[in-house]
Amino acid sequence: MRILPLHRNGSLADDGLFLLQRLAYAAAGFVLFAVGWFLVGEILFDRPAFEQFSDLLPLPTLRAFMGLAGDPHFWSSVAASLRRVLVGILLALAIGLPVGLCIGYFRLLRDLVNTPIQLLRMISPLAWMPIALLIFPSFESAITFLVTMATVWPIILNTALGVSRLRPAWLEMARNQGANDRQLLVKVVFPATLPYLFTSLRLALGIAWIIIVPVEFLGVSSGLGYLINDARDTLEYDRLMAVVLAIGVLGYCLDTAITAAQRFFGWTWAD
Amino acid sequence: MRILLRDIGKRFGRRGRFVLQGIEMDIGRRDFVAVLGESGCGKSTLLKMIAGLVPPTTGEILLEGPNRPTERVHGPAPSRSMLFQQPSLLPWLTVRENIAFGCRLRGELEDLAYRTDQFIEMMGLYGHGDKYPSELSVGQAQRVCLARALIGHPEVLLLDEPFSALDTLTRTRLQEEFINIWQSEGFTAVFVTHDIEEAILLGRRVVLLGGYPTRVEEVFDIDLPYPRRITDERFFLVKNRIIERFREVVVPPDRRDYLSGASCPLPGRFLAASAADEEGGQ
Repeated sequence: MRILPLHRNGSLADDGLFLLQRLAYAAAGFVLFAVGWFLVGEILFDRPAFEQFSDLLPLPTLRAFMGLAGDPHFWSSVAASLRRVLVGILLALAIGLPVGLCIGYFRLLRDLVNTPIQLLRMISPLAWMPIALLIFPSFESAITFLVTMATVWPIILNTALGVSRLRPAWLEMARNQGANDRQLLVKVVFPATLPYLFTSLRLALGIAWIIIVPVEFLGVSSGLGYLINDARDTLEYDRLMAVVLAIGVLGYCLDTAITAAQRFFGWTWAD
Repeated sequence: MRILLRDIGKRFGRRGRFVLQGIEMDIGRRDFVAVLGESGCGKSTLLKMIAGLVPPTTGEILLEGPNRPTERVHGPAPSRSMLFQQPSLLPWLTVRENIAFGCRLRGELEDLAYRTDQFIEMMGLYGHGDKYPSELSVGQAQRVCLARALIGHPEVLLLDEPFSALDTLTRTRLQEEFINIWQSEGFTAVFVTHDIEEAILLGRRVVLLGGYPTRVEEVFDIDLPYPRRITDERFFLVKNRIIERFREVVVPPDRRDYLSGASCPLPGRFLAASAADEEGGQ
């Protein structure tokens, strides 16, 4: 399997300078965001009617955020949310990968299922919530179902796209070299669709991370969604805001990690 | 391996027109046949039919080898290896892995690393074994494809305009190298091209395709010793003979709709002459 080093256009010094420049821009953007947050908060919460919400401002939030870092309950909640996301995506992958490969490979099947898939993927995963609660015996299984329902479509569609964009010459060459159907699938079709699969995983992870918070309102006693609900009920607005911030930071870290993996395990189409 | 083509015809779709019809060929063991025809006449389809990648609509392709019964082509087989027009390397594999790809599929693992190194050396790819296709020039990529096609020691090598994407210098060098490989390895070679000079440079026989639907118009025996030179006077004479014949048999694409039916009962030469008369009369 191809593992490509990142392509560098310039020297090491140029790369270092470029990285520094990007980091500086990112830091400046973050500072601007914090200043905007502070100013809006100051204007809004200066009024007596909103005074009770002053904990939503950057400084109390940051203090609570630091406090969260040392709170084992927070980390167990992060682990619970991550586990649910991971299990849901793995299930979606187990369903979506073979289905996507078949849809991409067999044109008739693609024509048959394209419209139902396009229809189903437009239904918000949250719309399935009451149905999930009716069907599944526990909140945990209902959450897994909802995450899977949300993430299976990009995996199916991107895998199918990858297969449909396979170069016919690769298949002809492999058949000419004596490949049977299974070898064709494992040695040519699957590696060729790998870049598309990574794209689909990135999309799936983004969707799963967004929906995990509302679906964890479903009555479970762990997870980031539960922490937000809990902070709201106990009127700890600084903690509530810190969890919101933590969700953003963790989501960004997950996306960065999968982008790095995408680059590391990907390969260019140029041959 | 001897290849016999008996009344081969091909059309795409049930109601489509025949692209190829009544193709008869007898390609001897260790022969080098250059199939010459204009672009889009069905040369590549003919080659894919011999490779077993595309089934013929009519007729049959028979294979005769020493010490074995005659068999009919049913699907692809590694003994009939094919080299494609564009380098068909798998971009996620290194040069070494691409060369060994077919052998690994077939489980021919004995001395594979050694044999791969031998072919890397033979193809002038020393030092490129661990590179990826995106790091190679088109000429180098085509050499890798040639190595992959040859490493399994095929009895037949089918070449679909493999040098057409290369610059003149690289093409000339590869043509010369290929003749040496063919002479030393002793396989049967069927080479498809639309380049008359290339056909004469390489082929012991040149099969001229023409007409619409395409059929074999004439077979030229090229009795020139290798290595051939285009500056050779005899080369020039052969080339002129083929060009003259080529002009007679090739039907220009814009005349095909007018001349064709689902199956064309008239010989291509007649049709071309009729077309020329008609044009002259206008």
